Amino acid sequence: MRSGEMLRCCGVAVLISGVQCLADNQPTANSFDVVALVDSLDFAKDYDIETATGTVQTLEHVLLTHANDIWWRDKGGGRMRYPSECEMWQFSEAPFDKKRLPSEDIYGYLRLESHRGNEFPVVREECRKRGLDFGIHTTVEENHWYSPLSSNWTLAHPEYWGCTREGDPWMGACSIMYPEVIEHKLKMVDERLALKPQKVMLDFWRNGAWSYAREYSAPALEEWKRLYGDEPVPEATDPRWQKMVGAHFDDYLRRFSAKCRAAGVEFIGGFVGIDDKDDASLRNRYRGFSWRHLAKEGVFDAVYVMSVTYDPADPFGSTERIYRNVMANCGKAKVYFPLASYNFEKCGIREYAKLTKLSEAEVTKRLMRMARDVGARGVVLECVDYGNYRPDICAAIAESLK
Amino acid sequence: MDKSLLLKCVAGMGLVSLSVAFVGCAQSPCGERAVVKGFNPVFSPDGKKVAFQRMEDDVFKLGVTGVNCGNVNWIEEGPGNAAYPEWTPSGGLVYMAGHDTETAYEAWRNGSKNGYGLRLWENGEKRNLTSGRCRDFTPSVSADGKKVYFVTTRGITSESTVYSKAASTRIAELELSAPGEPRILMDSPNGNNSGFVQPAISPDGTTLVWGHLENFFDKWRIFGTRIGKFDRLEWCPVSPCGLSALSPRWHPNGKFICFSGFRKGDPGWGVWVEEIATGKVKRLATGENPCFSPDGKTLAYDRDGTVYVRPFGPADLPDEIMPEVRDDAEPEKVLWTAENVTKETSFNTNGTQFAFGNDRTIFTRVKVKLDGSKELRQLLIGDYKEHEYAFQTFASYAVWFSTRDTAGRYLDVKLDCYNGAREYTFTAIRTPGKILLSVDGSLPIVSVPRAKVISLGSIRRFVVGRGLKPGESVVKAEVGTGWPNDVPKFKRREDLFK
Repeated sequence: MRSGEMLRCCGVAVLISGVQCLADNQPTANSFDVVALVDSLDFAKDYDIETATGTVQTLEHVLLTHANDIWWRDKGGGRMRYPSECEMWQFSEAPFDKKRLPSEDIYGYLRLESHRGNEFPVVREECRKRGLDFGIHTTVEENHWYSPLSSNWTLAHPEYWGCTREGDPWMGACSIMYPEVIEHKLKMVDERLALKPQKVMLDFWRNGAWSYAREYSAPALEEWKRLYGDEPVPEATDPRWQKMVGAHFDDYLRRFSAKCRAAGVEFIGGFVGIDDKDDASLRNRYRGFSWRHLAKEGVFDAVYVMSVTYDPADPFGSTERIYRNVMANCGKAKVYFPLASYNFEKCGIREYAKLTKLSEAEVTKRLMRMARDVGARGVVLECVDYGNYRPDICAAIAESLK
Repeated sequence: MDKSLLLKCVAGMGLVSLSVAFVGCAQSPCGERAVVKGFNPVFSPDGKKVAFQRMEDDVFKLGVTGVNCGNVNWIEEGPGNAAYPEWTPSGGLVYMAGHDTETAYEAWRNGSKNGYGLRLWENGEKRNLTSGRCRDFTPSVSADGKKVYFVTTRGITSESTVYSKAASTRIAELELSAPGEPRILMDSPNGNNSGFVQPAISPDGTTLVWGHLENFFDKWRIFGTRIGKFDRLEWCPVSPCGLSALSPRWHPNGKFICFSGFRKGDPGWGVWVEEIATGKVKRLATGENPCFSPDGKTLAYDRDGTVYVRPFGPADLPDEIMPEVRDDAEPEKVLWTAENVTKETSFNTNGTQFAFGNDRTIFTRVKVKLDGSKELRQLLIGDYKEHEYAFQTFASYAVWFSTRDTAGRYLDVKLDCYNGAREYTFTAIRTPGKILLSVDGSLPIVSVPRAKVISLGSIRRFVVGRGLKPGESVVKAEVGTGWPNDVPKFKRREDLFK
């Protein structure tokens, strides 16, 4: 059976057998989730991740952190890690699409998008056997700032590329203002759901250089004219422009959410740089929509705060204020907070340790306790690579879970 | 090519005998006629056949069929993949082929030699022209049949992160009659987010054109140079700057090229033709990967996974000149200078001459003595009301020139040229669409920013020498407009084809 047929069948099965899927997909009732974000690509030199053995080895290494919930990356940029028919996976291997440059390092030779390299059946089954929740970590980006990871579909459809205000199109990302682009993205949601995860986390941080400044596509200009007549199209910093574009992300996210709900899958939004202010100032990073409003509305079943903009003079105090503010503004959505080994956005364990002079193990315990105290569903390890969560940190996680 | 449609077509063809997998031969009003399911077509030397590739059963196959429809003679149909066919004058085919059975990890551990090399099919026999753990692809055979030009990743050994500055691709040549080690002619200029694809040698053998990606935020563009002049200084853009363009092929008269192109507003990738002497262009059809027939009277290309042919006649001759942005025309004019600064010094200033907007070319030039250490030194800062770091040149383990976009976000260009204690001259250029950095008069590194650069209106001060250590100094700092005299200009199409 061809991959596409298989995926379609799986998609139909998801829709028809909703009850059964709900039963299969019920997340484990952990008292507190410790989620591992796993990008298997980062293990490419440690294990043979194109094989089932290597995938199990990767998972086992990840579980040294005591994670009880696994969110596995489904793509790097626009290059998929399963045989995606929507993304024409056969063209992902360099150099079969001339518009995508090859990469000569080991990552450039991986064929995780092929049937042979597809990790997801293995990961799902291993998680089931071990009583772990299995989720998919996907991203809004179409390129990961790197030509070899460009989306095949995006490269094939220049007519949907986003443009600058000066009218310059760019092959890195399509404009959300085209209905065809949203339909394509929703087809990819179907593909993800056919992989039978219990959760899907859509990561807005890995945005592949998207910005409002590249949304001046033809339908955007038409909509602006409809809304504002002959008023010149504004700069991308104009709140009206951002609101107009953001409404299309709202549409996409609501439909994404509805598909997840129909399949009994939790839909989670991941956001960085959260502070305790209103999120209007963050529109530029989050594609215009108000994640708090969408959480309250129930579009997101859960929100993953990927980093917070805390006060370095009072790291824990200000972090807790932000956490409580988030909890108070997310409606019924569950919330995850970060426990990051890397220092992305200066929000890693290391940075807190540096500011507070505490050990990293102690910081780990404090952050986990804080997340638990404010009522979060859990913490997320962003991201688990080979050995990046040291044994003392892993031990602190285990102790905190007791 | 709409690959999703291609995949559907291919899926639908699974039930059909491959040898009769033709499409109808009905003509459209413009004379367009479908030939065969496939893509990347090329005419045979006698013009009666086309070689093409097809993706079927998850394998890229390579076949030959008659231009007027006929059976497909499969040259390669697996195992492994084959792509990018190119005819030799004697009726052979050069193409990319390979069958990599290892995982990436196995290959990496084992030091594998499996990759995609060039293969020659001639008189029913096949032999590998190149091999190795690399990709040799998009060959172009010279009209005399002696040489093959192609894109390769050979010799690129980067094992670092995706942010590596190693080149992504190179252009190489190989003697077809006596293949040995390919000779590398050109490296992609800007690290692994820049690169080449599909070189094409002119019929007279004097000129090479290719698809060129300068930078992650740039668009594909056709570049060219004369054979033998492979230094970056000699390359020049051939296709207009307003087009995305790649996959060039020559008209047999050497006066035209055709290529895959896209301009904002087009319904998709298109078949474009350019008269290279004048730069005039024309879009002829929706499709990709065009090539001319040997008599120059027919074009073949692909669309939605089908190969089409159509006549190329007088009505198809290019007639549009697309505007070119020229950012190096204005001569250097120094507006501000500071000399012999040994510690951080602020030069409060004002004046409308520093209100540069974002629609003209400006430059900064900093002549410095540095001790080779890696601490941050902000050598020259332009502090404006619009942004306190409106532009700056700074050094630590490398050297950067940075500016901001209209939303105040950081943009930069980096040069890995800082290699010890000595005197350097860093000259940075900010044009409306690019930022560039040169050291000691070198050809500059070019960065195409992700957004429009910030408009500079109200100067507050220039800051020179922040972070300088004892013994270091800014010998001279300058700010001005126009293209600086010490930085070479890139060549233009007119220089190549005058």
